Amino acid sequence: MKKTKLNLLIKCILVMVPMWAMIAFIKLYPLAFTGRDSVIIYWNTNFINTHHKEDYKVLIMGDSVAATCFMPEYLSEDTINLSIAGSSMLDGYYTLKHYLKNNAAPTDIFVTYMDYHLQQDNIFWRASSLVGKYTFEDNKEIYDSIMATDADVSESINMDNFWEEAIQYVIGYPGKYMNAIVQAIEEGDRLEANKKLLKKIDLHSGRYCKMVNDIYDIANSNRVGYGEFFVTDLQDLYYTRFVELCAENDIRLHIVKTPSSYYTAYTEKYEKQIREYYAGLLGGYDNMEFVWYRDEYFVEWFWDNAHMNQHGSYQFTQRLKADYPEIFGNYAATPRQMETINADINIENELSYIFKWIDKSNYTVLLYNNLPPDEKINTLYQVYLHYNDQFLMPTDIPNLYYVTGDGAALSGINFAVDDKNINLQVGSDLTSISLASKYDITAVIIDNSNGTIVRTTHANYNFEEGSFHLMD
Amino acid sequence: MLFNSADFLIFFPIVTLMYFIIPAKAKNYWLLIASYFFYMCWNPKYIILLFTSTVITFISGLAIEFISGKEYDFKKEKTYKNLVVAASFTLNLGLLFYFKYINFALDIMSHILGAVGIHMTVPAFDIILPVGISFYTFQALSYTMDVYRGEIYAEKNFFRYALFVSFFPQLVAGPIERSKNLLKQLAVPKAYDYDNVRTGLLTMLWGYFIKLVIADRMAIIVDNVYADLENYHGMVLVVASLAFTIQIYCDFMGYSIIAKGAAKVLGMELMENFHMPYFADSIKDFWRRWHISLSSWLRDYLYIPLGGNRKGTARKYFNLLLTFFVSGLWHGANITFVVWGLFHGIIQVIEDIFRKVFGNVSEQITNKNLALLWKGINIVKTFIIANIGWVFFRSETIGQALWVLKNSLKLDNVKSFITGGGIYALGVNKVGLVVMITAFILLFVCSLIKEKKIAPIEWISSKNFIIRYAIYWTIVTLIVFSLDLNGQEFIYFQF
Repeated sequence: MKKTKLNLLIKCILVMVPMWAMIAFIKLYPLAFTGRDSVIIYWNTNFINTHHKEDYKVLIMGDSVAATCFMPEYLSEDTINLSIAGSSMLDGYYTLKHYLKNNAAPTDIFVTYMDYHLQQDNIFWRASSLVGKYTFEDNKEIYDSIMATDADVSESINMDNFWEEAIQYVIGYPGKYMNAIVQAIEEGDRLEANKKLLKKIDLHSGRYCKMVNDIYDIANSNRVGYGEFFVTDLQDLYYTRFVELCAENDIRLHIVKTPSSYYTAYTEKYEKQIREYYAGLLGGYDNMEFVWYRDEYFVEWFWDNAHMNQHGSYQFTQRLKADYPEIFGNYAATPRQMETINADINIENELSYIFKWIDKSNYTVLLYNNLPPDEKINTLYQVYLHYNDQFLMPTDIPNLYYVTGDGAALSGINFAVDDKNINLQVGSDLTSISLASKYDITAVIIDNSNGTIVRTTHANYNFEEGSFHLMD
Repeated sequence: MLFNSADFLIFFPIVTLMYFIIPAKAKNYWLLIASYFFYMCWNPKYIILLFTSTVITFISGLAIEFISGKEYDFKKEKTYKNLVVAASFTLNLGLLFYFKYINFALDIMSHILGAVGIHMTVPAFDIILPVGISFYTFQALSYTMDVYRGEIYAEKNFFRYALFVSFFPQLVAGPIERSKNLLKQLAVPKAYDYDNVRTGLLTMLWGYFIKLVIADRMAIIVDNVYADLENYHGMVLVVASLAFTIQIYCDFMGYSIIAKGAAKVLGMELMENFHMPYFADSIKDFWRRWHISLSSWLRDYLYIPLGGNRKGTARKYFNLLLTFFVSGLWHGANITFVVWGLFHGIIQVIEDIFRKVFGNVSEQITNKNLALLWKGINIVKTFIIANIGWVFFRSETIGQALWVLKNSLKLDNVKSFITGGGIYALGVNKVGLVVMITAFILLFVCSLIKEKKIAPIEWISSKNFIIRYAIYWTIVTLIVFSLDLNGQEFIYFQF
């Protein structure tokens, strides 16, 4: 009798082999099918559950605003941005909890959640569960917390099916993933695309957001007004837990409310409520603060009413560096960080900003001036105006100038001039500047640390606006 | 609790395991508790209805037997028995009427009164249709009738009888079991049997395959088209109608097979509910193969008591039409179901007249190939008729059904549908199409095997390990690739 029962059990297991194989595939190769939007959550979950040899001293946490505003490449090598667009404090708490379980505590955490995310109970549970972020223990705590606070999480999950779904996510039940797997099969190259994306996230130290220089279209938007501030019980519960976790680990917590555009208005009542809330939350902790950057930024530094574009993020990051010199200090960008800056340079669409990104890092910029002789000085000055104390230096080739971020002499670049072009070689990278160019200026940005040509671009001078516009 | 839900995948193994562990005397009690729990997962309050129906029919059985035991004269005995049967039917059908048909009846009444110039506002009752009420009511009533006819003894053990009415594998969507079959089996508690469990589990696997891989995939096409009907015509509507023809079959048959498999694991044998209906060569034949438990119920407890074909041709046709009217109404409180039922009844009448005029054509054809061709033509004809009928079944109104049928004939988009990848626009992706085609081949081969009176599971079991597991793994793989489609309720739950 026993034998037949055992036989039956073995046969049942055998018959279901494709199911086990699929579960194993889901657990072992999530990148092969994970949708683009989930890659950052996968990266984040993987990061917090891994022990890192290097200690990160500063964590950036929060939602899309935090992902946008804080640029680790300009802060410090040991800053990591663990924020996830759309997430809530509930998710942030487990991010920190898992990170601390596997890693040494950071000295500082900067956390930013849009007020909106604290005022509703969209808990981001499904998105995080999809990449296996929550353990059974986490799920139990989440379930109990939702029930205890009577939170309306219906947008995120039907609580009647909470455990059914939670178990499916934890074990990797194929029903939750087949849609993505089928799409991945049809696309054919999702694994490669995801690996690329993962590298990009790594490069940006976890910062994953819409990195653009689009400008907030106020002509077609309403002015945003804030009149009543409140925090739901569930979010409050998790914020309190988050603060306690920081206190237990002796972490300096900086709750940051980032600058808004001048197209946003707060009532006095709102400001009072928000300050009172955070004062209550952080009361009793000396090493924690709530900082509201009440500056009104230009709308040109936002791509929508809440999110800064690259230029806005740059401004805010510089401001943060200035306000916390003991944390971020003055430092020279490492070659790894410069790779991230290279990415910023590559999406830049204003010549003057290219010089801002470079700052004092180890870059060389070659400028070939094609303007008439009488315009030359003025033109180059316009470019120079946006830069630091370095002057443009002439090279052996007429009309070709250079400047280095750290003021060093020109080196490591080979020139070869023929009838039509100036050919440049940096390491194995080659680029040409046409002598008969139709552009006023050709700029070549060279990353000296990594020995690469970052970008070759052209600009024409707009006499009416008095500025340069990048052509490509 | 749906068969295709995670709840059931937890519930069923626990129930089964406990069933085999506990002492024989406790087995039926355990199954009864499990069955009531199963029903209450949907809506705990409505368990009262199930219980009420059980009590009424249980008492009716005892009362009929009590009357039989008394030494009344024949006439008196018959009168008393009739009264008991009438009471049982009135109470049960009354509950069914109230919970399923009251709003429909009031609506019809209001239309009729409106037609004769009497306008009144009819209040609508806010009633949730109790899941499976038509199934268990008919099953319970068949017991009353069987006792009345003396075909079985009245059950004395209330708990066993309650289990017969509520046996969870077939409680909410059939098959509508007969007391002669299921009640007898429940009298003998079943011990663990390797072959039963193995066959039952494989049967369930096949049922899940049919439901999840085929029915739920067809549902995507059907739902997409019916959600936006006015934007489609011709080939798209034809494809949607064909898809629904397959969906309704695989959805209901899938459920019935899972039910049969689950019962088999527990050592019970449920009746066959489908026998390749789309291989039928006439509508009469179709109804011998489709939802057999309902059609045989209607035959035994309605058509034959009405006189069947014993009282002349006109009466026979009347009986036929009335039976199909009831069949349509049984499916739902909507005029579309009634029309669907009557459509089948009328076709059967026409087929019968045709047979009377021309005789049995297939018997007259002596050439084997011609006979085969004739059979093929009839199968296709029957399939098309069934397909037309399903348009009424799926549509929300008669007007919509007629619109679909009319616009299906505007076949100016056949080429563009085929060459332009029209199927992809209806929600099926390339992987889904491959899965669908593979599944169809498997279903067709299995149906052919069954048509040749070979049990597919036994056939597979007779093959060597490699073939056997290649088939199992193909089925499981196709199921796995269809798991994201789940959540589709079984269509027949609404009846």
